[in-house]
Amino acid sequence: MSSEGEQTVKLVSSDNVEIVTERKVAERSMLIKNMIEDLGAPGEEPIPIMNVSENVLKKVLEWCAQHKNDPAPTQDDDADSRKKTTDIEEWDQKFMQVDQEMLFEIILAANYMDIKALLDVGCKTVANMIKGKSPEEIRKTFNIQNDFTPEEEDQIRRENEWAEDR
Amino acid sequence: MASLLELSHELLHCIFTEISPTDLSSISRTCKDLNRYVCGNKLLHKDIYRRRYDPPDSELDWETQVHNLFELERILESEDHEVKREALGTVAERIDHLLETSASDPDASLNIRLLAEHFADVANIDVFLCSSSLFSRAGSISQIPAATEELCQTSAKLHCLYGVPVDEVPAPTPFFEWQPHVQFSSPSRTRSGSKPRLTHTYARSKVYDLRQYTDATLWGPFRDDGSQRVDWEKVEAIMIVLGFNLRKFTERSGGRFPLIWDEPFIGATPRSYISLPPAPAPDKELDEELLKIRELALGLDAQDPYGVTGTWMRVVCFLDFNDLYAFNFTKRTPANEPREPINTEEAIRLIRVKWHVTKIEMPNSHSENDDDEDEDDGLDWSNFQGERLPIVHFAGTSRSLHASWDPNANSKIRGTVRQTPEGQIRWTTFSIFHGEERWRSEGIQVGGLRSARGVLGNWFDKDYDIHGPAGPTAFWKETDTLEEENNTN
Repeated sequence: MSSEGEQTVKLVSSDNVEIVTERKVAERSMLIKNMIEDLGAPGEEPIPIMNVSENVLKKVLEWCAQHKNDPAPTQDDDADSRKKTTDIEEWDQKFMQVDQEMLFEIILAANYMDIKALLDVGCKTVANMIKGKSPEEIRKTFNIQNDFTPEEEDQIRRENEWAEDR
Repeated sequence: MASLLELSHELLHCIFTEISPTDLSSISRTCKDLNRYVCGNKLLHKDIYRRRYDPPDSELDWETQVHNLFELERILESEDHEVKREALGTVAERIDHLLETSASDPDASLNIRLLAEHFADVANIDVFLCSSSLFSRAGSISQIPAATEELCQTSAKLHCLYGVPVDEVPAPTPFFEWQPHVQFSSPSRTRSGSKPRLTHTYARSKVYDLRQYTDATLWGPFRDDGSQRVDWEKVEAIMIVLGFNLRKFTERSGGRFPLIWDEPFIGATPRSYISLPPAPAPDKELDEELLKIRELALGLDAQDPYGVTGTWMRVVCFLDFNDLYAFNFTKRTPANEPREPINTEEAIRLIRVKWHVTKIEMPNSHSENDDDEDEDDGLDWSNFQGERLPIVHFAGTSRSLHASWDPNANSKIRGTVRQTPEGQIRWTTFSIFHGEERWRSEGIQVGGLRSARGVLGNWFDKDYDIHGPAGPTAFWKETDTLEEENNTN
């Protein structure tokens, strides 16, 4: 299977659009990789990606193409999780400059398609949008309704005194 | 439409483990849904804890611990000295937790790095490390004693765990003197323009004050009430005096003796001692006695929780006997007043000690006829927590690194190591010259069981001669082997 890199696969989005892509790119997704292995004959049978629409799937594949030669993820989760949280590669940062809906769609797709590194970048991007913000600023950023009564708000503020500046 | 609130709990977890505890607090205050998700979420707090701090061996109340430790960070970050001062007790407790649960490799320890970073701040040094009663006289204007005796002890203990003696640095080079920012950044160096008050001179006055050596303190670094609680103010003074002398010794040796006690918190944690790799196997014949000892020791070593057997470095300082006498007996000082600061130069001896376990006794099984064990009677163990460890007896030899003719440095040595009711590790040694015990020492292992930092304490006449001599001593482990090092200079 020396020509594996040039093989193509057919993916079908949730809105029924067929996308042909390099097998190596598609296999950044563990979901697709496992499906190809199960199906046996890659390239012939179209692979349905049921939860992901065309525009999101294209965006995800764009990321996969950029990262197709990355080393396989290590099993060493513990060491992984200790990496500095703000570290996002420059290319990824630019890639993630999308509207919020697309950002969450990418996260959902990465989760569904089992692309750990992309999920990671997505979560870090959201985390960076939270960092250093007040509750009110977070509400604004993510369009969250404040549904606390003033009394509840007061009590919760007291419970959170441990986090306040001294 | 995809949004934050519509993500599954699993995905929220992925995102929220990336944010700081403050951000998490803000998140929990945005709305009821997220509040319910965050509060009481053990797994989330556990993951946040394990990212920010060294993962402890046991399960904790993760949420409370994240709150406590993050509050500690906020206090250490604060620019308000009063906020810090009021929190001394809390801060000490939480630093204890960080040290007890820190990774054994200090270079890989998040806790040690975190503490070292915060204690690069002079304000934290002044408030938390320099608030023992020593600083009623010593130190700078922003170093003042804490309100109560217990808090003074707490601060002294923190200073010992920090492990780098806080003392006036030697006079700066002239180059610094005309640099205006240096003077602004360290207004505390001088007290209203007067000369800096050298902390080591006050520490020395405590260490060599023979009134501090009493039966109730076992003549060691213990409180004067027979409880065997550690007197951290004494340990602090010992550390400062020995640190001063070791620094001077390093300078004089032209760097051949490396500077020690210069890295904050390193080695002040349980089990932080790791043996140096053994020297290449020496190709010399081992005499029969040594072989016998080794055989015996292997069995005992396996049962020894303290890691006794091996080669240790020991430092002893002493005042010339006439100086010691003059300092203690020429001028009357009221009983509750400390003696004058003393800047007299001391002598320092570095000694390499090799000892091995000779006997292990279970706690409570009272020893048969050891004359030095009787002071255990009447101790209150009711507040003891954790596992009672045995009493380990050891014996060996000590050899001066200085002139080999120094009759006081080459001797046989024996001793014991045991727990105190506080759970501290107490070491007792006896130096034996020509078959006769002469000096005794009592010390406490800073950082607890098998700490790399080792033991700080007092040495004195084994018959408790009230005229001395007496002084400070420290020892720390170098390797687990008893071999002669044949590949070093």
